[in-house]
Amino acid sequence: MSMRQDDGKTPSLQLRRGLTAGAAAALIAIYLSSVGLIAMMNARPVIANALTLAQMTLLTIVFLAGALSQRPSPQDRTPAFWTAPLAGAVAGLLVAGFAGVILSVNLRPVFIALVPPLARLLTFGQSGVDGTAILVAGSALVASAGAFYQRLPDKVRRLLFPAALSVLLCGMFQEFIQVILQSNALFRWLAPWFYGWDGLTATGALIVFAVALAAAALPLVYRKPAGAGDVSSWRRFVPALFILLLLLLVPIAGGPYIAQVFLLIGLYVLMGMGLNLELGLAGLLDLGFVAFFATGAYITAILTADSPLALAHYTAIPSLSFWLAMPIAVLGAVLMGILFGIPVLGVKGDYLAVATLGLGEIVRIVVQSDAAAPLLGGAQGILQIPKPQVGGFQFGSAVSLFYLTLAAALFAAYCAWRLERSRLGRAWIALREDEDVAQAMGINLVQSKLLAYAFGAAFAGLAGSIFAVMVNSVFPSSFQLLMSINVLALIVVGGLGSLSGVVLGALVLIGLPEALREFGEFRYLFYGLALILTMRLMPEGLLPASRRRRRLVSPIAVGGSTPVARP
Amino acid sequence: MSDTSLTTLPPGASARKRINGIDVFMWALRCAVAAIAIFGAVATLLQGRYSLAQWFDFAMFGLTLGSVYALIALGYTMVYGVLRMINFAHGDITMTGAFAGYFVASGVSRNGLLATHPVLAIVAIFAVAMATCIAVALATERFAYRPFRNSPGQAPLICAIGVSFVLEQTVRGMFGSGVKSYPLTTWHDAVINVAGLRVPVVNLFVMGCAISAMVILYLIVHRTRMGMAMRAVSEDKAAAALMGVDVDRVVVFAFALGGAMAGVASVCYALIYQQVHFFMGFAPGIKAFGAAVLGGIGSIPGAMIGGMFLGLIEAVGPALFLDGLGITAPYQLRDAIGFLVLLMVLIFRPQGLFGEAMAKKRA
Amino acid sequence: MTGNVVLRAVGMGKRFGGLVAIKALDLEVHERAICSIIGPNGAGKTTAFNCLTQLISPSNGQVYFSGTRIDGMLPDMVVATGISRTYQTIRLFRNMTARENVLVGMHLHLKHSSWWGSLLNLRSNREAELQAALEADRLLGFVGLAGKGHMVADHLSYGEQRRLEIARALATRPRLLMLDEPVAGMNPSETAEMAVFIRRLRDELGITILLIEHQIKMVMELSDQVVVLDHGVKIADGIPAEVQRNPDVIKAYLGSGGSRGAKRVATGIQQAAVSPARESQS
Repeated sequence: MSMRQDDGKTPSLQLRRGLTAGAAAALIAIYLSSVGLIAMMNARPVIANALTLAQMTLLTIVFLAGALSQRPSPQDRTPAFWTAPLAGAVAGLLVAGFAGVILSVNLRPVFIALVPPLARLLTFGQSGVDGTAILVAGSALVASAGAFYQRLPDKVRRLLFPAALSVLLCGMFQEFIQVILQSNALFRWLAPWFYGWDGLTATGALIVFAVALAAAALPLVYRKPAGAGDVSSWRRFVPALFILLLLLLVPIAGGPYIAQVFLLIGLYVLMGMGLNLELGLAGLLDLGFVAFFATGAYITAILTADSPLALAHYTAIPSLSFWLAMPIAVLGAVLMGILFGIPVLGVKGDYLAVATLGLGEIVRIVVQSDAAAPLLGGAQGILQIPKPQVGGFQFGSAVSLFYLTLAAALFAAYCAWRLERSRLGRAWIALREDEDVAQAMGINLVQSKLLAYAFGAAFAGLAGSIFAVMVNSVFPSSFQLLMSINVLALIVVGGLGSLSGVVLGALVLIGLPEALREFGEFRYLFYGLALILTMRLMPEGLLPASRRRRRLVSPIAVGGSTPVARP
Repeated sequence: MSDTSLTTLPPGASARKRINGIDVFMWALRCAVAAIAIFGAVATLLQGRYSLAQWFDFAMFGLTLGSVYALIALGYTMVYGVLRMINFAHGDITMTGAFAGYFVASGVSRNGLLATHPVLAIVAIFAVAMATCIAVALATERFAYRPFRNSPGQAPLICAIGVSFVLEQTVRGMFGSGVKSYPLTTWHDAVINVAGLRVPVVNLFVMGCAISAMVILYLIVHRTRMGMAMRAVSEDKAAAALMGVDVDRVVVFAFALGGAMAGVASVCYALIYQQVHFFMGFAPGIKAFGAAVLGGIGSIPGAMIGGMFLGLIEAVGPALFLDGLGITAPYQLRDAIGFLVLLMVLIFRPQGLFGEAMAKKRA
Repeated sequence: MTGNVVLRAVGMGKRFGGLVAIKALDLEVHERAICSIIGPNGAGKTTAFNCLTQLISPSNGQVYFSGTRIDGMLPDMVVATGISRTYQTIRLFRNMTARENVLVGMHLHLKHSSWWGSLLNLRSNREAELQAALEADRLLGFVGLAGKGHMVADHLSYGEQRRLEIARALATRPRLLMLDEPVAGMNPSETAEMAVFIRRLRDELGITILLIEHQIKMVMELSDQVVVLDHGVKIADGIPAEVQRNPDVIKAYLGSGGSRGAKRVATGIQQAAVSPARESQS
């Protein structure tokens, strides 16, 4: 009898599901077009002369709509296949309609991105009634492919997804990969197989797909012989090792720009590890974190710069070398961390975030003002900071500075790793879990919190010190609140409390926008979306710390066992 | 508890409080801020660098700005009241309203409606700005905040930071990153003379709008059924739900009211500064949050007074406290004064000036 | 009652705004005694606990622990003098393992494991940590959680969590252990087990016990001293038999003058022995 009920109900439910999925896909496409992303993506080919990033994105959206329409839900365990083409058709129709509106109404005075070329892009060059029909049919087809993918066994999907992703990455980053390929005779020989002068060739794409497929299949073949426990512990280190190798080799091979990007990533990793101690372990959400970075940079500047603002210029203190200035800068940042931490010791939760934000902003505004200009240069900053030197070798290039940063980051990672497993680390975690109880267990709140601020500040100060020599100058405008939020975003996306997560988060959130230069202005949109989506879809981040460090979402929300005590 | 327990405590040795280094530091901090304020003020007044008319101008501007802060603060207060979360994106929601208002304003300015039917045009600007803010606030609530309704910890705040970015960058992407100037109304620069003091009409208009909006809001919250439900939810969500209050609807209502206030605030803010920009919502948003905390978060009159106070301090502060100390270009430190007030409130009086009861509940 | 007075509160009061939660409480607990505080809901029992451990500071009066005045101290200093406690609603560090929870309890006694020592990976540090881990496992074994040290606290069953909380409190090496409703939500056999366990704590470890409990039957069997609070006022204090006969107590629990809460507890007394656990372990 329930069957009959379902039969009566299901079609309308399925219809609604298809329509919703299609409308959602269309809305996302329209949103991306309106903010100007689609037009910009069109300039970056994935496969030369065949597929641009914009087209790929549009297809992926429709593909995902098809796939999601097939996801079983509690009301509807076995969605009918036809919802997918329906979703695709709806999406196609709506996007075509949107393109029609762009062509017939001049929206340009308000929406700067909605121009006729965009409309042609959205409709893949089709127009008129026939064109719309082709578009609708095509998008229904793509959505059906999505549905088909969704119905594949998990194992197969686990192969296809990395393969497709590899093609995308190889296409998107073709200029960097080309540079790397050209750097080495062996690679140079390989290059023509994949890349033409204007990007990944179709054959290249196929080869990449096949190789990635095979690589993804490898663990499946090799899983059996080794012990299950062995494999899991061994496999945990694979990403870390891989990333380390990447970090070591790519900057040399990739030339100065890539080295510059990696240097920046390294600095953010340093800061990320610092904030990770504060937020990931001790649970202190600090949005004024950039102040510590600025302290490190400014102290390095006034101690080493060849400028009227340097201490050496108007006091008896001699001009120091970077190697002497750096530890002083770190100590100064630690002092700043403690001074910064004391007033907000008693401020908790969300209030702490706003209070630290206010503190950080006050520091920046004061440094930027003319009132502090005689000491710190005001908005003009401090110029002419010399590069570090060892003997005759000067850390002048981005590559050499990158290795300096890498060394600093490895040192910091070691410290963070040790601290996390120490008595102090336990105290921090206890503090984050339940401050009152932690205190009642004998943990000195003042000391523990201040140490958390101090260590976080030390890492940030180190990063700031290197930053100062990297750009040869310091300006207050480099130390915006946005930087604190960048650091927050990268550790949240990477996985709070997780060291490898920090690295991955920095690669994705700092490296990606730097590498895709033209998207630079969209980086904060990307960050915002990354924060929201991470919180909603995987609150533990991309590379979660071990289970017990989890904190952001309470067990109640996740559905852990929580016996209710008697009130 | 019955009445018997409400008798006063017997006299006896009161419990002591040990003083430690941190307390000393905090007292020193308090004294330092107070000392700077007092010395600065005395020095400035003795130097007599500003005339009475100038002080009046500062104060007038401060109250005008303060009434805008108050309107934004109301959005924080109401959402915090029902959800106990900081809607970090509220300032940016306000910004979307300012943009919507800008497009209507430039439209009516171009077709002459602003000159021929100014009242109609202004009403249209306000209506569109309010509608936009309400829509954005509701969408934010639905997609970004509702999934975190019952999760404590920092997830909701982090998500709200994300929302703030998305709103800013969406507006930037759609409408461009340039500063857009608001079209001027004919009466924009008009001035009324009151006993020798010049009062700009815009300031009066903004204050009038803000105060009437707040009065309407107060009536809604205290005289309607929905308002009553809202107050019930902010007292005790679980109990209100048991009493048959639809918490979801109340939350939506709170966001809608906050959005409406943000809409009014956005147009007022744009009228004062005559320009819109995608990043304009951030600083007023954070400061308005400070105002809400200052007045006791959750309290509507508190938000109004907190906002006015903050605006006044920000406008008068640089001249009053800093000029006398011989600090160059004190106006550059205006925002720092605002943030300092926010900080002092969060550190020393998180329950706000009138928020004794609320503070205990959170403790 | 034998032994010295270890805990003494003199005129300890707590006021929340206009509401008086505790009114001038005088309390003396003797060494190696098991003392229970009972009273209707809202009588101020947990507030008294919080004031004694300085989790909230009392508004009036003084508190002494073995001669040291502890009111006004921070909670971390109070625990260093030898008072430790559990909570009415379980408050473990839920995302830490059972062993880590106990290790946090040992924080005070791990002074040799400093952060700089950890950074340098000093041998003395490693030794201290190793000893601490062994002691933690021993404590877990003592409370019946042997072999569960690696489990995340949140994944333990309700009864296990209660016991872990006690192990964590014991890790601070207390001389006075304060248990806030240790058998709440337990069934009769678990309750009996817990009573035996509490007695063992006193007999084997020599710890003084201060207890808040609603299970009157258990309180009367277990305690050397019973204190009755009603509306923040102490209405009786003495050996169980005395307190049971006290007319004020009977009135507070059963009399017409009592509050509704009191009546509910009174009914609870009668049912205590037979009622099954209210909460199931999930």
